[in-house]
Amino acid sequence: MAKNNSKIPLSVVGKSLPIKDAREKVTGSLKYAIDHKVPDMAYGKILRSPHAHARIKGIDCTRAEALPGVFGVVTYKDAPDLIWEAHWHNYRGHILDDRARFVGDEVAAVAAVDEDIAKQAVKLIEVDYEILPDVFDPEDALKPDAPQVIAEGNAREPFIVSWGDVDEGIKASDIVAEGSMNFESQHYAPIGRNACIAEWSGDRVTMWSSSQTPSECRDGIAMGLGVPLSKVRVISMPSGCSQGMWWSNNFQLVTVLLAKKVRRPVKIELDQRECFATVKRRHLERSRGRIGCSKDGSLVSIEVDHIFDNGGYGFKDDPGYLCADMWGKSLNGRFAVQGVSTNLVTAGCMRGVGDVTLGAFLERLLDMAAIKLEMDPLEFRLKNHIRAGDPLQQLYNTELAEDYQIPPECKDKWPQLFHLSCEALHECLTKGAELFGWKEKWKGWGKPLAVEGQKRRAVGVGTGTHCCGTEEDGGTSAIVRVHSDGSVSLSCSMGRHGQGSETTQAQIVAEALGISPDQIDVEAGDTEVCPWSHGSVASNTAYRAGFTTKSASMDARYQILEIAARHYIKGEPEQLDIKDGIIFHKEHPEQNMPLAEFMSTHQPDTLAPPVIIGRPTERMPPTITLARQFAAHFAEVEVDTETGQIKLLNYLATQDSGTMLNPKVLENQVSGGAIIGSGFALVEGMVFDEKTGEVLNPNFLDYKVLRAPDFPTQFETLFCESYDPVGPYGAKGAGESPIAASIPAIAQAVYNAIGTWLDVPMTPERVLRGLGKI
Amino acid sequence: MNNTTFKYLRPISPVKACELKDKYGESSRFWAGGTDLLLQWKEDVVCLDYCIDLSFIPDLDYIRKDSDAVSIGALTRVASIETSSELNHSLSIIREAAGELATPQIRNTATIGGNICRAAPSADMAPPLLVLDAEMKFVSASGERWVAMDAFFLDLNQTALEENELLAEIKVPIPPVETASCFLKIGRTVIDIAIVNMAARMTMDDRGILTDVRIAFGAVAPTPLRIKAAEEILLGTDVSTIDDTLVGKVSNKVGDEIKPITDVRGTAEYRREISRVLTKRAIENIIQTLQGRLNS
Repeated sequence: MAKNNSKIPLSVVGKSLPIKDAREKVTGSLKYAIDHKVPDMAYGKILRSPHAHARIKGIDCTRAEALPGVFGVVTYKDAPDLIWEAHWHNYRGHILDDRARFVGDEVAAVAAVDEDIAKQAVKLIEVDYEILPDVFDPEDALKPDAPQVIAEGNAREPFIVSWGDVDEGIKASDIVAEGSMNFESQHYAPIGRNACIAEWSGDRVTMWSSSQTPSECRDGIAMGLGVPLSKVRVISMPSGCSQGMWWSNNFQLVTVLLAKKVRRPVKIELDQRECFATVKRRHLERSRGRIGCSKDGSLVSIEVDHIFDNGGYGFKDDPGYLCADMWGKSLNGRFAVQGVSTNLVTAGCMRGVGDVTLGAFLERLLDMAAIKLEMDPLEFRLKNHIRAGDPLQQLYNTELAEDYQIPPECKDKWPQLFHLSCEALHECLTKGAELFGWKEKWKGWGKPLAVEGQKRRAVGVGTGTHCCGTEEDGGTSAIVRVHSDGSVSLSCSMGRHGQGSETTQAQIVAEALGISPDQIDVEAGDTEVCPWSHGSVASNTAYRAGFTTKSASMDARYQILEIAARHYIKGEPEQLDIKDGIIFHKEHPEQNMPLAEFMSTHQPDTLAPPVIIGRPTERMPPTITLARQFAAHFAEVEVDTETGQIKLLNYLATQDSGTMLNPKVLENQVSGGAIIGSGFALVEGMVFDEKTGEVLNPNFLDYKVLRAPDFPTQFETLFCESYDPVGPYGAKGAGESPIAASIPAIAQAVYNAIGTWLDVPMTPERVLRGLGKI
Repeated sequence: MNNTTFKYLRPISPVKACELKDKYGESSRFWAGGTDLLLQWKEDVVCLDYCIDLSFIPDLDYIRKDSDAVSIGALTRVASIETSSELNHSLSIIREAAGELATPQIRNTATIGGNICRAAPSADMAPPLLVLDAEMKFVSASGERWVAMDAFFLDLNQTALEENELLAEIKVPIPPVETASCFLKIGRTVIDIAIVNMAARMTMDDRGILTDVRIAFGAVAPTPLRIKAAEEILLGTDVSTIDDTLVGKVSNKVGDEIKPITDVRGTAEYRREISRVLTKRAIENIIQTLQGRLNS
């Protein structure tokens, strides 16, 4: 596997097949969780805390329970004394307890015959709160006398990675630059709202909701309710663009608890305000650090201190950055990251977590060094970025290095761990520069490309990276079933949030089995059918789910060939192949049999049931130790120095995601990432009330995202393919590096236009402050 | 606490509508396009026990031009205004403002009357109507009266309309030929509520002396408003003599007169600064047009 980097001719992989549910989406017939109903369903509504931090001294539900049409109320008294934890510590806490930790935190929930009555009943619940001191600023929350938001204390264990000696490195550097950067909290701004429907049957519960992580959602319910995994079935339904928002969220567990208490199915549907202000968001982050280089532009030392807030229920200790590996050529490095709890709404992973923020700060440090060296940012990046075979410094210097050793039986198969498997970033940068016209447009640091009245145009380039799935919390699996008519079902727990995985995974199955993709259907959300998987997180699906899907398909294929060779076509299984749905002998193609005929003919015995079931048989190397996706973006901006407005004029997004499984799906990921990354760069940020921490812009009117007219019509994507030895047919992850490259490119362009660095988002107001005009 | 349901009433004439309003008073609301009202009701901002839907009243949706004015029915959709060929020359700023109001979907539903009567400080239709000296026709069960646009906005979300009155028509006088106007808006993105919006209109005589100057701003005070102290500086000046110093003086006067606040869209400081900038740009734009006409 690792040795074979050569490309084999592919028939289905690499084609821009339309996404499987495109027709349903454009005709509006696709059913989301919010559309789902079950018979005899009650409607739930959640009572939310008006206080940032409070203890519930007393709670009286008598009036609410007495309201006609109300089935029942749950409070913390009904919740098990169990702590549940979501994927990557995005939530840690009870379903309900006697504390409110942010304005909007869940306090109780009512089930009633309709939503209106549930809403009225919620207002009849009387809560006696003891107001507790609160804290909103992450740095304040670290002070010794700060109010403690959670029982474990506000400060998480600092996450520190270091190699070499940064102080010595700085001493040995010819030039040194220092900087800092603050990031507001970006929101997922979900286009679709979510709902949860829970129905108990005896001691078994079925839950419908939109989730990217069906398996983990099931585990969370089992953990929070204290029931065996076998008693929980999650059916994840499609969602709109989720970006890490809809994983497992506490409102789902509240629904399950409420349905159990009122002994009937319950649906809780979040309204727009609840989606924005009560679920989660990207962390508030602050970076500072210094960088040292030698005269020739080689990195000698990078040092970063980074702090991020977890809000009320996040529990992360590192934001998940891979950007440190990107600049691991630096002889010395130290990255200290500190997570801290606050009385703001919970913060967690959002698309490109860590690499969007800390990654953008690293790029800023690089730029600051390049300014001192008077070096072209493109050249500087080409000189210093990680190349195939280079060590993954950041990761190598954690305890992971000891966990992930190559088992003896895999020595010949696996690539070298803790070294980058492949990379086409240099190609993205050079080919991108050519397409963008970098040479003509780059005029030097702090120099605009053109000045027209009060408007200045300038260009910038930036890079982004992220993982291709990780192993934390468990593995990833898939099942391939070949039916008696030769059609195939793939079951792989991925969720459906517009990422197109059901299409790309079907292409992998079709390629491996030699059949037409229209013969394949994919179940991506039912935990009763799908084996455990991480789901569609951490850019996992193309790479890790793809590996396992391919492995399961190859297993099914081998079973078919084995039986065919035994009974129908003379030869060894290795001498047979399947193409276009026909099983044939490679040397004697006239000996053949259609797969459909084979599946309906062959008599089952104990080894071969009428349905052939393929499962992954290969061991997957720990992918975090070898694979990375890369993006390089080029932006041309126009800054109005009187109004502070920044306009994107021209944008090029280049991408290395290994082999393109489906170019259109990939383009969708890359352009989506670029737009949402640019949105964060320019306008997106949650506004919190200074006194209460309440979210003041919990809707699309007040929280702005970029829309079509905000993004330049001159927008292009360019793909440079590397070939990953582990990923299916050489493919890698795609979703998260594109969002990480926007801020660096735009921030650099803005610097070149106005000569100053800004915090994120780079609002017109920050531009004018940067220019000293206000 | 708001009810979760409301009574729905459908009058078929303005007088009937006013009678219903008389009857139910503050617990009732007129429903025009409903794009804002529905959200306000859901968010418990307004009380809506009785929804008086005006959509079925005939003949409140029109744009009519006669020799001296263009009359716009209060229920005219913003989208109709955006595309109206009647609103040309210096009235085209009404069209421009309509084109920058929210999204195409909302413009297809929202009405000009609703945008004005909601009396939001940021109402995009307000500054053009203020600088064009529009007049508003109010009707009630007992008759009708006319109120100048300049006297329409009283305070935040408050207008000169009595509880039982309904805005029926907006009449915009057609200014003399030697008039130029400008509408400018700054939002966080292309589709946004204004951080600041403004309009200006100037008329000159045949010698190039400014005989009429109007400058109006939105989102910088509790109501959209004219900045009369700034207008006065320009009134009576010769368009060929207006220089940067004078423009700066007018812009600074605008900065002094407005009372912006800080909200999620922008700070008071930013609003003040860009109000000066927009004043400057609008004057430059208008003067350039007028000077061009003078020279031709």
